[in-house]
Amino acid sequence: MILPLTLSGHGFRRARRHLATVLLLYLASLVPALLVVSLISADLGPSLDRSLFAERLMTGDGFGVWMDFQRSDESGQQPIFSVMLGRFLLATLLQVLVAAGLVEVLLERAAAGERPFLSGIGRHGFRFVRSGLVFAVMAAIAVALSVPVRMAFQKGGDRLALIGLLVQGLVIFLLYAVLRLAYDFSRVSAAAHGEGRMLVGFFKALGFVFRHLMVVLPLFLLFAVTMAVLHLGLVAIRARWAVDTPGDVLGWLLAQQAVFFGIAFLRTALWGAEVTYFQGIGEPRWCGRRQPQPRAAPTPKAPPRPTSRPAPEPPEPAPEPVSATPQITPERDEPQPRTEPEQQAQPETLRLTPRELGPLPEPAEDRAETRPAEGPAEREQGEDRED
Amino acid sequence: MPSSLPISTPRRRCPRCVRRFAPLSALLLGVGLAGSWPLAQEPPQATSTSEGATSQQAVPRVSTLQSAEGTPPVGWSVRDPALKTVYDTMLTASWNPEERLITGTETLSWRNTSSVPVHNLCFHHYLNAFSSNRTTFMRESGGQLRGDRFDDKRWGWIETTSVDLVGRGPDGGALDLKPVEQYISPDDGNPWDRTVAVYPLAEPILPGQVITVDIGFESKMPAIFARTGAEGDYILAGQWFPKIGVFEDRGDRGRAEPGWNCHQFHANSEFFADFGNYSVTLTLPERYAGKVGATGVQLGEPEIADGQVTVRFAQVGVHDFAWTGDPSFQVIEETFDPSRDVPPAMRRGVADTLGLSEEDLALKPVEITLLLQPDHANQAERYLRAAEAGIRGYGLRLGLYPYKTLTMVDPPRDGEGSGGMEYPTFITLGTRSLLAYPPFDRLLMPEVVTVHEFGHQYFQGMIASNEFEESWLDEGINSYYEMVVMEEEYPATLGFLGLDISSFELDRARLGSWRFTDPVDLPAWRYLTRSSYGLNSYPRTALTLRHLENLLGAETFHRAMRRFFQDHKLTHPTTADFERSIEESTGQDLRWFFDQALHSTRQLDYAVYSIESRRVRDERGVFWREGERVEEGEDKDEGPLAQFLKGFREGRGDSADDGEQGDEDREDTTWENRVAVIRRGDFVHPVTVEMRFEDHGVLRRTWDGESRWVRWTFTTDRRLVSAEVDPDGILALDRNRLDNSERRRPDRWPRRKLATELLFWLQSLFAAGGWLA
Repeated sequence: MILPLTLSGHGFRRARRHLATVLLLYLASLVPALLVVSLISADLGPSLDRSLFAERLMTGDGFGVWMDFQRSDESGQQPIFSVMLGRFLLATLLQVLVAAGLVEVLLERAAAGERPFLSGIGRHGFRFVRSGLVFAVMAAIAVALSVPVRMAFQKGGDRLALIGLLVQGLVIFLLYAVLRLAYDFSRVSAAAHGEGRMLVGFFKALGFVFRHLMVVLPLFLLFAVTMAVLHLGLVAIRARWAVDTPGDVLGWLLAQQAVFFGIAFLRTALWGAEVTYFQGIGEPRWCGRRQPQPRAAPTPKAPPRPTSRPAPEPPEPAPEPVSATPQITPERDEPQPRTEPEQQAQPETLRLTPRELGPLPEPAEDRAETRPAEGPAEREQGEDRED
Repeated sequence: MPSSLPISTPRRRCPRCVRRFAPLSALLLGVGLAGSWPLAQEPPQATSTSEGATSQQAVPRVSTLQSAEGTPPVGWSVRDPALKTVYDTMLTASWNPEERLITGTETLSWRNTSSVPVHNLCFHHYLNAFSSNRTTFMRESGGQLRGDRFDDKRWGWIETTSVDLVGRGPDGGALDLKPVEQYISPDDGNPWDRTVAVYPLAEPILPGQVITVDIGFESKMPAIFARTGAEGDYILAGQWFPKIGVFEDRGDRGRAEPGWNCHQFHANSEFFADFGNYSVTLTLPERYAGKVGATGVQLGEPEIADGQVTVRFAQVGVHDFAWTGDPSFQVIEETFDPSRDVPPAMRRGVADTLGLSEEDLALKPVEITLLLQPDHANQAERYLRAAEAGIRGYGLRLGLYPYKTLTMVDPPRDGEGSGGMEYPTFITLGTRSLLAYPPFDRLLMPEVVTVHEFGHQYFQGMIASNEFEESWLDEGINSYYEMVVMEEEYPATLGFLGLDISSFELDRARLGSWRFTDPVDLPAWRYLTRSSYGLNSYPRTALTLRHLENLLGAETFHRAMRRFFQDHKLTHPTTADFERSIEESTGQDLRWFFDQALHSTRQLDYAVYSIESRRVRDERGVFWREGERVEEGEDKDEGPLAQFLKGFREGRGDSADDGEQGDEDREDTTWENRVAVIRRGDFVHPVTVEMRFEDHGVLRRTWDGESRWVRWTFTTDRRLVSAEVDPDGILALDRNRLDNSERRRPDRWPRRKLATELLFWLQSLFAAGGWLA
């Protein structure tokens, strides 16, 4: 449990260093909601603002007011359901794009003057959307797989059926957590290396998640449960809070937005912890093409070249050579060490302890000095790859 | 109805009739002695003893009432005016759960209580509604009812194996009616529907005459659907035996000609029957021992022999008999004790409202038996507390619950289609395990269904209106009292995440858009849609009665309703009886209200159309005074912009709202205030309009509501702040209460609060989207 907590700490620190990004993530859910609320509010105005009956909203009888509004002529001016659905899809897409920028920011490798958030969206936005579709399909499959679990309890009485529902919920949550982690790590890998084989990357990351389940799952649960507790706690407070004065309304607004901002911070911190872990294990390349490597040699040989070009340097510690022939990488596609001299070739099976993990990556300002320069050619290579 | 067959004169009454009724009379005697007795009048008045305690006069016994008509056969109690029973029924039933089959016999003694000869007998064979997909019920329901879908691999039916009319055969023997058995479809002519069986008689039944019919039958219970059936070992036997119809005389329930009232079983309809006495013997496999419940009182202990258990039940003065069995039932017994379970303050309050003494509202103990599913054991208290709420709520307001027992059945998960139903002294409920745990425990579904189904003991059990033809008299009036009891006993019927919703608001919400396609008082199968049947029979009627209560005042209304119940219980009243009773009790002509609320599709919607308050300016312009032309007022030297703005404000009608600086302080400021009220709906109703002024002054006006709009203009030294139609909240049927009022200055905080709530939930939803992608 120490490692997840350590990673959490690093995640919090990363998030704190990038509060502007946290703000953008927070706005990604707020702005679409505000758009819908403003539309509904515009419809509500003529009915509510001058009606004495609307005062019941302040005293808790909102249901009656809302139902009467639904019957009023003003309520039909906007197709609320389709607007909400559209905004929901927009918000979801927005958050996927924000995630692309957020990951780039959290990788903390931006050069001076660069805007990593926007460049991240530009570089990774589309592949993150593709990856999102993969994830959505996998999540749907997970939900479908959980149905037999619930059905197994249906033949019993009512209580057994309820237990079945809870078990199904637990199964879905655990499957979701695993898939979500794989999804996140694959995106981090894709962003770190500019690679785009998202489907392959997802499954490779899934393997990684299963191999390091005792680290990543508690990490995820820590954040997920905290966010759930915050949200449900707010709901519980609201259930007991009358909110019957203008001051209370403002207070409620501030409280809920503070919680949503806090949740955005936690989500960013979770990303930060995942990025920290990813960097700590050597930044494996899950979303790129497999590079052929001789099994015995610790480093791949350079392929013969027909031209007079000088033979390429051994890949270690240099980046992978450019070649039309795909190179086979080790089974687990172990990360190719980069220029940090302190990082060594990792053992095939990662059973990291804090000692083995070594010192966790330095803050962004230090890392920027050691970050290998990414030339345009590398970036293009990554973008040319297709799943 | 088929034409009558040739009449033959009975030679003598068969002595076997007497012997048949000896055991029945013994059972009825036992029941009568046990005190389960529906009374036609108010309960005996309590009297004070010298010690200061009160005592009740003796409850009439069977023997007393038996002698009301001279010397009838031993144990005979039919045609007793106090009991208003028409028949005696002795039933036996043997239940085979593996075959889902009831094999039974019925000995029915029926008296012709009309003034004309009866030439045939008409029976309901309700279970045949589930025999195929061609029956009227199945065609109308499409195989779905109350959220259940019919399992078409397990059909249900009822078939007679023998029908013998005792004493009408050759040599005084039994006349076999089975060969002349016919099925008719008086409502829709459906040739596949066998829910109404008719037996033409060669010899009519003369007025006052009693006949006895011995019937053998088999009932195949369907999968649980539409309130009856069997699922595994669980059985809920409703409408399980051949049930005699109701023969109505000329004038009964407004009838022009005498005849049988015997409708087919429709998807939307329930049931209608005369009052009778029931004695039932049930035989089930031994594993059901101690786990059987039924209408009425259990007589003696169950008898176990040869792997079977036999249980006997009896009840006098009811119009139906249902029973249930499930080896997995948990049986919980409790007694409602009025001295403990009726708060003195509640009794006092109701007594004051009704203008009665507290002694007039005395209630009886009731033995409650709850047959509970083990999975719902932690909700037993909820059921029992709700039953107690019903017994005191209905009992205090309408009259005591006269029966000794109340059996409540909690169906299993697979048997939920049998839940939410009423039979005399026997109700079926429904809940879910989830509702035992927070925050779902504030969804008061078990309480609502218990109070509602108990209430049917009054409106259906004792009132016994025709549910086929006037469903609102039962469902609607009961829905109103359910609302009253729930409001009294529970703060909110639905409380969830800070939202508290009363029964009244739930009923308003259930009316949907409030665009009615049908009037309230239609036969059940004649509504345009099933949802129209539902909303007209239940919430619309409940709101209509709430509206009437507001209109008449609580005291007048509740006294009138109590009188209606007391005068018409056991008499099958009609809508006309109800309206006449209310008008007589209140001394008011309510035809205008009933015609619109019950017999039309009119919507009620009054609104404040506009309010204005303009400052009356000093005189300016040319006036003729005493024959001379005089110019008053001097134009201020205003620039073009100021003049433009002033003209703009005046054109918009806001100039008086803003006024000129310092106007409010001028003592001689005069305001012209206008209020326009409009009738948006087509329901005409007198309304009160209240106008409020800045110094908290209040002015009320009454409008008859007949024209499309009305406008008042007041010139006062105070400015109008707001105008409101129906400030006292009388118009429960007003479709939209938001437009009932208007304030001159908007208050945006309610909207802001609602927007804040919406923002929270929408933002939660959209943030959740980020977890999905």
